[in-house]
Amino acid sequence: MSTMNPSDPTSAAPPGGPIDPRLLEILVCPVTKGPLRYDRERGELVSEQAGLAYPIRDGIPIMLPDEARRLGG
Amino acid sequence: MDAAEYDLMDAAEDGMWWYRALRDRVETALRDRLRDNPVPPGPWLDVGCGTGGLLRHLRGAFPGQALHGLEYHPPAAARAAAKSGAAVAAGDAARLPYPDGAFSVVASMDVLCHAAVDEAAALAEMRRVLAPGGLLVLNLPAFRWLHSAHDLRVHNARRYTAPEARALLAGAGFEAAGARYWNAVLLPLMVAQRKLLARGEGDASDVAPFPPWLDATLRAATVAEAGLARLGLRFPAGGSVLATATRPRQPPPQDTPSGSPPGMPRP
Repeated sequence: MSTMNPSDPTSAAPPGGPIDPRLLEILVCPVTKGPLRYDRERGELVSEQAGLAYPIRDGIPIMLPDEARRLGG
Repeated sequence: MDAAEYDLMDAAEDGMWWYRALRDRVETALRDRLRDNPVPPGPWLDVGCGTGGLLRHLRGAFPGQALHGLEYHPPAAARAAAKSGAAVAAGDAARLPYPDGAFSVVASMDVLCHAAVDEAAALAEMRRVLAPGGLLVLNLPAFRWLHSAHDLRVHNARRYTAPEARALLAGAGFEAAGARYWNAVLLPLMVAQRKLLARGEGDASDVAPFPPWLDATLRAATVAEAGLARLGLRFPAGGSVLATATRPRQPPPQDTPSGSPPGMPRP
C-alpha cells in the first residue's frame, strides 16, 4: 500500500503532515523494537530490520504492521 | 467521522460524570503512589488514549510532565494529539512501538478487557516499556456477573475481581500490585436516592422526577456512548477495578548454574 498524498514540490510540508519531533526521538519498530529511519520525502518511518515502512497520516505515525508498506520484494 | 462529531464526542467525554470520575481516580492513585514510592524520571504513556481526555487532564494536574499516548484508531489519535498536546502515535497495545524502559508511568484505561486486545501480550509490553521502579495504572471492568449486552456491544471480553486483577499483575511480573473497586456507575442513583431521602420525612411525594442536572448527566452519558461506539472504541461499563503495580527495580533472580559470574577468574 502506497501513500496517495499528492506532493506539492513547492511546499516544504512532508507528505502525511509534520511529525512531532518527540515521536521521532522515541518510536521504534513495533515488530523488531529496532530503530526507525524517517523518510521525509515519502512521509514514512522505515524499519529496515522488519522490511516495513510505517505511514504517517495527518501527522500521526501509524505503527501497525498491517498498515505498513513492504520494502523491496 | 467529521469534525463536528468529534467535537460532540469531546464535549460529552469532557463533561460526562464517568470520565470525570475516572480521571480524578487516576490522578489520586498517581499522587498516592508517587508520594509513597517515587518513580524514576521519564515520560508517561497512556496506552489506548482514545481522544485524549486523560492526557489532557494529566497535563493540567502534572504541569511539565512529558506525556505520550498510543491509540489504535488513527482519527482518535490525531484528536488526542490536538487536544492534549501529548506526543500521540497510532498502534497496538500488544506491540508497543517504544524501547525498553522508556516510561516512568504507564496508564491504560479499560483496554486489557477489550476483545481485540491480547491481554498477556499487552501486559508484557507495558512491563517492557516501563523503567525499573516505574508505575503501572490500569482500569478494568469489574465482576463477571455484571457482564451484559452492554459489554457485547462495546467488545468487552473480560471482567475482573480485585483479587484476580492483583493475581494477573503478579503473574505478569509486577510487584506491589494493588486493586480497588470503584462503582461510579451507581453514583447518580446513590446521589438521587440521597437527595430523595433528604427531602424530609413529612413529604407526601415518594418519587420526584430526576432533577435536571441528573437528567443532563445521564443524557451526556448516552451521547458519549453513542459517539464512542461509532468510533469503535471500548466503553466503560459497570463497576470498575483500578489497579496499580510497579515494575521491580531488580531483575527476577536468575538460575545461575555456577557459583561465580561468567568471566570471573576462579580462585
